[in-house]
Amino acid sequence: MDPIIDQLARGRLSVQSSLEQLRQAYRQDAPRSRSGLTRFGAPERGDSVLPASSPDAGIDPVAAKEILLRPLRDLIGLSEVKKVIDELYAYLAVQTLRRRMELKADGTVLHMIFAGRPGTGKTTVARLLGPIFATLGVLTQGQVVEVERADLVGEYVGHTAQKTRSQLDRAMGGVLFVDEAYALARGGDKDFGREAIDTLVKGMEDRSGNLIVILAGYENEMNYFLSLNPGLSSRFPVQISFPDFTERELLQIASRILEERQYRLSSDALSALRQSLRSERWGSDFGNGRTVRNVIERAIRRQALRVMGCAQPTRQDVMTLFAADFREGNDHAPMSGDWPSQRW
Amino acid sequence: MRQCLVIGRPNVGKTLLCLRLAQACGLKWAFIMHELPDGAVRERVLTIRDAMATLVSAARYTTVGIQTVGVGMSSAIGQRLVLHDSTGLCEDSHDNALIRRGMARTLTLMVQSEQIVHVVDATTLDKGVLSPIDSLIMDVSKARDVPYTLVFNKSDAPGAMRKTELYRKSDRRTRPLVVSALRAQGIDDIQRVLIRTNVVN
Ligand SMILES: Nc1nc2c(ncn2[C@@H]2O[C@H](COP(=O)(O)OP(=O)(O)OP(=O)(O)O)[C@@H](O)[C@H]2O)c(=O)[nH]1
Ligand SMILES: [Mg+2]
Repeated sequence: MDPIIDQLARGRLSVQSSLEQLRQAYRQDAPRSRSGLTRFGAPERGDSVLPASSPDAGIDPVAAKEILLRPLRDLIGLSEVKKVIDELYAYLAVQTLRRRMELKADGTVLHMIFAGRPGTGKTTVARLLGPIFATLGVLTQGQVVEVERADLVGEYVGHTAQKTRSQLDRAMGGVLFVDEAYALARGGDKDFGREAIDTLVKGMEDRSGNLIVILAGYENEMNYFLSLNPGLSSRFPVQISFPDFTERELLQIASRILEERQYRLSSDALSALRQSLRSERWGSDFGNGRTVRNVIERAIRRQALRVMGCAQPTRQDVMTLFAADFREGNDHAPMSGDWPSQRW
Repeated sequence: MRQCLVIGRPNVGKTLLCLRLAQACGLKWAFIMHELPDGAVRERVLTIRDAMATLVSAARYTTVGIQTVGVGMSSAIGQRLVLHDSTGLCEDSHDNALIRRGMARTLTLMVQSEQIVHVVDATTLDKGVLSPIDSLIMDVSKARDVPYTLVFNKSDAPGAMRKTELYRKSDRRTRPLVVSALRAQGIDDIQRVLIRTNVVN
């Protein structure tokens, strides 16, 4: 039993496959045990055990594809991103198989650039990639460490290298996700950001193979950043761009949020929501998925005020958002710190 | 002391149910041992009411790690049962190492505990069918051959009863106990099962 559970803890087996394998293990142990404690050491490896392909080979990457990529597929929109990752998966899966068959396999460099505006799903996708790579055996742990400039850049000479190295250590065996990476180059040549970049690059080389660094940020700023650091581009061969969501996708995101939070829209609220998103869209600080959350949060707060005015609010009343809840009123402006979730 | 695991997907009401059971057993205070996924252990004694306020939440993964609630089944018999309230099992947290470790602990208890109470949120039954994870939980529990109780929670919520009926029609082998932890309804049924399975021996 323990090896199965251990694989789950390491992110190498999905919950379902772990349970499946436990079931198999019990089934093969014909005389049933009440205590179940230590009767089974390693599980017998039957042919139907899922989805390990052979003893000690880890899971079968082809069979596991569906399970592993499902969370990614479930994300709204991002069709280009999904396509790129599908290709990457196929490539890595085949490399994994080749390695197991003792054929030559590339030790590919997988450092990435995620370019896109805020709220387009960069962080979400990064979080999903860690465990996928771990399952494929590219990384040993698959944890995703999210950092930004302040986590890497220090206040005095030597401090930066020390801070950056400690983040690299935390990310060892997994993914280091540097959000708004271009901010590292913000302060010009004398800035400690420079030192952070150098330490990062050195760390990537020293730890090659068991660490993936993802630099994320706005498309234009990332291009500028890369142009300032000519050596960098070639070190980040996987470049994925995250486009803004379409209006339809934004509405899908909205309906998923509403469903999660157990609210519903009155018949006129949908067009008010659409209007509201449209006007936000042209704003300079449009945050895609994040803005959708904002708009909904704001409506929920207005609805609450409105409901407080009802004499005897019904279940219907507390669940329903009206058009009026989405219209700009004399309500306070949303503050960026108001963002309810870091998910997007 | 008998070890009973309370298992299920996130946010189905495991924690509230454990506390309701403690309450039904006449406890005013809950002795709660919180075992964090990294192995550290923290003990707290809270009134049941405070415990409900702090440990139950609509957010998924409120419980990460194992929370143990000691429950005296009956002061007359003086026999005690320990409920292990566990990290919910669910696929889409695969990217979080902490939750993964919590879930691994849940599975460890699943193969070790002497009794299993499996909680399902009745409103999430799809066409009266258990989710894949839930049917696997049931299968593994049954394969282990320890006392196993299926509980459908949130019977107060809209759609719950209709979905429960659909389930009853499609699966006649395992009868669920239908409860509402929120309204403290049906808790005594679970209590009876726990007492029945625990007075022997
Ligand atoms: N309507 C209804 N809601 C309930 C019931 N039981 C629990 N809830 C709600 O469901 C949510 C989750 O309850 P918890 O007890 O924290 O669930 P859990 O399974 O321990 O959740 P995790 O620890 O996050 O896995 C809370 O908002 C509860 O108020 C019930 O019987 N009916
Ligand atoms: Mg809980």
